[in-house]
Amino acid sequence: MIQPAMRRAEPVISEEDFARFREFFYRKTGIMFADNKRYFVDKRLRERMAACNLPAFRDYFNLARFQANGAELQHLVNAMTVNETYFYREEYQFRCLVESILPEVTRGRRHGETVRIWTIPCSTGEEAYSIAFYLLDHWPRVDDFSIEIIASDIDTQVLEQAKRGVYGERALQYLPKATIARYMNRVGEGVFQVVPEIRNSIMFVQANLSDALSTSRFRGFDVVFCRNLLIYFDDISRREAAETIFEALDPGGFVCLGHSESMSRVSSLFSVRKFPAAIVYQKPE
Amino acid sequence: MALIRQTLADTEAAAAEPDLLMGDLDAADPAVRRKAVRLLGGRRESGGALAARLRKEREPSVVEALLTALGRTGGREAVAALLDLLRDEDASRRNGAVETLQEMNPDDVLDAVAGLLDDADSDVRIFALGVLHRLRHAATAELARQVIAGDPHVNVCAAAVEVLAEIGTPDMVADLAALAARFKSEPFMAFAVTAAIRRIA
Repeated sequence: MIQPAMRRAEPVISEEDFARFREFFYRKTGIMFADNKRYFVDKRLRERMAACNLPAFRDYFNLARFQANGAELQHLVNAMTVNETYFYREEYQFRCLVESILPEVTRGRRHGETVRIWTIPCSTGEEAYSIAFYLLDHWPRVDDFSIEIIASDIDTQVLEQAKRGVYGERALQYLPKATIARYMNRVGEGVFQVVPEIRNSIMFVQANLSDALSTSRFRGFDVVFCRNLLIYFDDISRREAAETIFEALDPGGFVCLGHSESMSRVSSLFSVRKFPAAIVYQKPE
Repeated sequence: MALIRQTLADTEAAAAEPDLLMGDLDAADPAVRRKAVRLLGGRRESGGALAARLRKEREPSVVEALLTALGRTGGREAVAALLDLLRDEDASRRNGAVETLQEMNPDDVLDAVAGLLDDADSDVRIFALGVLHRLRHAATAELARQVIAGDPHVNVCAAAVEVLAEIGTPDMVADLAALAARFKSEPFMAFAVTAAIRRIA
C-alpha cells in the first residue's frame, strides 16, 4: 500500500493560474469558463499536465502557450470540449432554420425552385439527416421547393458510414419516436437505418474547408451548417474556413455555427442576425 | 419527396494556373480578386505579388482574404507588407495585420517586430507589443522586460506589462516594481503592475 506521504502530490493550480489559463483559452477558442467550472477545468488541466509529465502549472502553460505546432493546445481543446454527435443536437437551430432563415431565403422564390443547404463537417451523417427529417416534419413549405442537402467531411471513412445511415439508440435518443418510425427502418436490436429515399437524396462528398481549390465547386448555397468545427482550428485555418463559407454562400445566405462559436471573432465578412430561436450569421446581400 | 440530389460543378482547373491567378489579382471584380488571392495563398513564390496587392487593395473582403493568404504564405515579403500596415490610418487594416502576424511562424516574425520596439512612433511600438503579446515565442517576455526598463512612454510600458502579466517569470518582479516607481504619478500603472506581479510571482 502506498503511504499518503509517498503519493505523488496533485499539481497545484492557483486562482491566478486559473485566471491566466481562462483568459488564454478564451482568446484561442472563444470558450469562457465561469467560476463554477473551476473543478471541470482543473481536472482536465491536471490530466494534461500528467500526460505531459509537467507537474508545475507554469511549465505546462508555457508548453500550451508557446509550442510552435500547437499540438498541446489541440489536446486541451479536445479535453475541454464535448465531441459528440447525435440526431437533433442543438435543435433550436433547426427551429431557427424553418421559422426564420428559410422564410427569408425563399421570399420571392418561385414554386419548384431550389433551396441548397451544406453541412460541414457532417461526420457520420446525423446532422444532415436531422436537417432532412426536421424540414420534412416542420417546414410547412417543404413541398414548394426542391431541397438539396450536401454533406461534407474531410474524413472519407465517416462519409462511408454516413452514406449507410445506420445508427444505434444512443444517437437517436432525442428523435421523436414518430420521426424514427417515419424515416428509419429497424435493422437489428436497437439499430436503425435511414430509409433509402432520404439516404439517396443527400449527397455525401469529401471537402476540406481550408483548401480553396477543392472547395471552389461548392457554390450557391442558401444555408451552411458548420457547427463545432472552427473551434478545432488555429486562427489562420479558421479564417480560411470562414472565407470558404463566404464564397460558398449566395448573397444573403446564412451560416449556423455551434453554440460556443462566434463568427464575429473570426471574420468581419458576415453580419450577425438575431432570430428568436438562435443567433446566426449572414453574407451581406 | 421534396429532397433532391444534384451534382456539384466541376472544379475550374484552369483557375489554379499561377500566371492567370497573378493577373486576376488586378481584376476589376472583387470576387475574382478574392478567388485569386485564396488560390495563391500558401505558395511562397506568391508572397511578393500578394504583398503588393495588399498595399493597394481597399475592398474589405479582398483585404481580409489577403491577410489570411499572407498569414498562410509566410516569409519576409509577407511580414514586411503586414508590418507596413501597422502605420495605416485604417484601424481595421492595422488590427488585421496585428492579428495575422500573431499567428504566423514566430521565427519569421520575431526579429522584424522586435525592431519596431525602437520606432519613433509610440503607437507603432504599442502595435508591435500587441503582436508580441500573442506570438508563440519564448523570447517575447524578455523583449517586454526590456521595454519596461527603458521606454519613456507610459502607454507603451502599460502594453508591455500586459504581456508580462501573461508570460512573465518571477525574476521579472523587480523590473515591474521599478516600472511602477518610475511612473509613480500614474495610478493605473501601479494597479497594472500589482496585478501582473500577483500573477507571475
